[in-house]
Amino acid sequence: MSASGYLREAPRRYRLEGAACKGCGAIHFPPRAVCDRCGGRDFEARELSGEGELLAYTIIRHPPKGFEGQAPYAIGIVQLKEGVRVLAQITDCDPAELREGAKVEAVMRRIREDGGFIEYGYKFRPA
Amino acid sequence: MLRANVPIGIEGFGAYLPKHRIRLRDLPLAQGAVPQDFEKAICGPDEDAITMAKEAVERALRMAGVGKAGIGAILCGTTSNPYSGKPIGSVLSKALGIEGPILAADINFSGKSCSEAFLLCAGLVGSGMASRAIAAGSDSIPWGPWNEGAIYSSCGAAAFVLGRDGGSSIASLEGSSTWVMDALDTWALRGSAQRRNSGRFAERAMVQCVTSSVEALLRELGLGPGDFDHVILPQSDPRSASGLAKRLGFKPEQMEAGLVLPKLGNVEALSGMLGLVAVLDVAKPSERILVATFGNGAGSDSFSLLVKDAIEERERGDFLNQLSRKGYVDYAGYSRLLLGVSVSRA
Repeated sequence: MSASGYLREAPRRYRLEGAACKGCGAIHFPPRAVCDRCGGRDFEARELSGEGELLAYTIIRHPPKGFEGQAPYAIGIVQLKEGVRVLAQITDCDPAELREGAKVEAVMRRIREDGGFIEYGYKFRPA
Repeated sequence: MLRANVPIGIEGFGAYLPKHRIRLRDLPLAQGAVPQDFEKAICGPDEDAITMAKEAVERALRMAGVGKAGIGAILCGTTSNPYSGKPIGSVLSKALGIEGPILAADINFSGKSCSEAFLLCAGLVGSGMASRAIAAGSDSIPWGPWNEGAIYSSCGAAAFVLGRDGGSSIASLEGSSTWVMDALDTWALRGSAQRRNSGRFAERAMVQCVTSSVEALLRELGLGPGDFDHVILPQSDPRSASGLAKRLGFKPEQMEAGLVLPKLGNVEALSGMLGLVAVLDVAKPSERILVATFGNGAGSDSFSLLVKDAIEERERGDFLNQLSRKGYVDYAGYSRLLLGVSVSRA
């Protein structure tokens, strides 16, 4: 990833900033250009709560490049309070003890070092 | 004595402690040389000074309940910024969504970097340059055979929201004092992880700086050692705090609530300020707190706080909760975390 691309995404990576459609109120994460509910193109930035429920997960034991130091780790689909679903790494836990339906909360963590800089982004941990 | 033109108060505070802990007795070189029941915090594989600072600041802002408007500065004290050419302060401003016309900077290099950030923020608010300022501290110091002197070195972060003293502040800053002295007590050369120490002379510098700073503060405020309910003194090792307390006339019970070394280790840039978080977590209105910090080769800061009634209205106990939210690793697990190799949990 380029440094400029990373910084463009920083608001959503660092603080889960989504977009709320001004026409119908639908919340999108990540933000998008056109609302898939009403076709509106007018949005306002909306910081999401980061509170959610783990819907499903899997454990990565053979990680891709850049994630070697973290394996084994879990990635999962989290349903946020706002209704948005997010795919993210689950941290601060023993993956073997995770359960679907567990309450989780968003945190900003190191994702990996690539391109000469450190990528930070959201992960979830058991609440 | 350093004193602002207008009264300054703490509006919120917070800390972040990593989940991982190691008992010092499990470190092979430490066996027999350290108290057997001491433990310290260790960063997870995806944590560093930036991620910890962000969590501490969020907690402080949540407690302050003042939102992000009006924050004119965010200063972070650290000795372990993962970048050598990019400040933590600017990352925090982006992460908090307050980028723009604010002063964001790091205070580096010493064990009192966080208290330096605190006093600078007090100065910014006191001078009217900022209506609110955030003073943070975050450190992640690894210990290894290359760095035996840092056996107590630990990880964590703390943050304080400072504003003009009013109805919303939970503690008033009564005054501060600082004593600086160039000393080669403990130091590290640029590019080297190894800490060098001048042995017994290191302790002499600490005693001289801290006693000078604290005595000047007490003199200026017209207070004596018995006027404080809680006292936080430098706690880089088990002897330093008790030795200083004895010399300055403080009793062990005054030190109790702010002594975090046995449970957390020495979180270099903010060890004293984490002690302040621990005290504010349990302090009662009208109690008086003395904080004295020390940084090797940097001197000592001290300040006095008076706890206000508003502290009872805040939801507290987060620090104590985090102290108990922990999981132990053994030396093998610790080594893997240090080297960035996966910690097997299978």
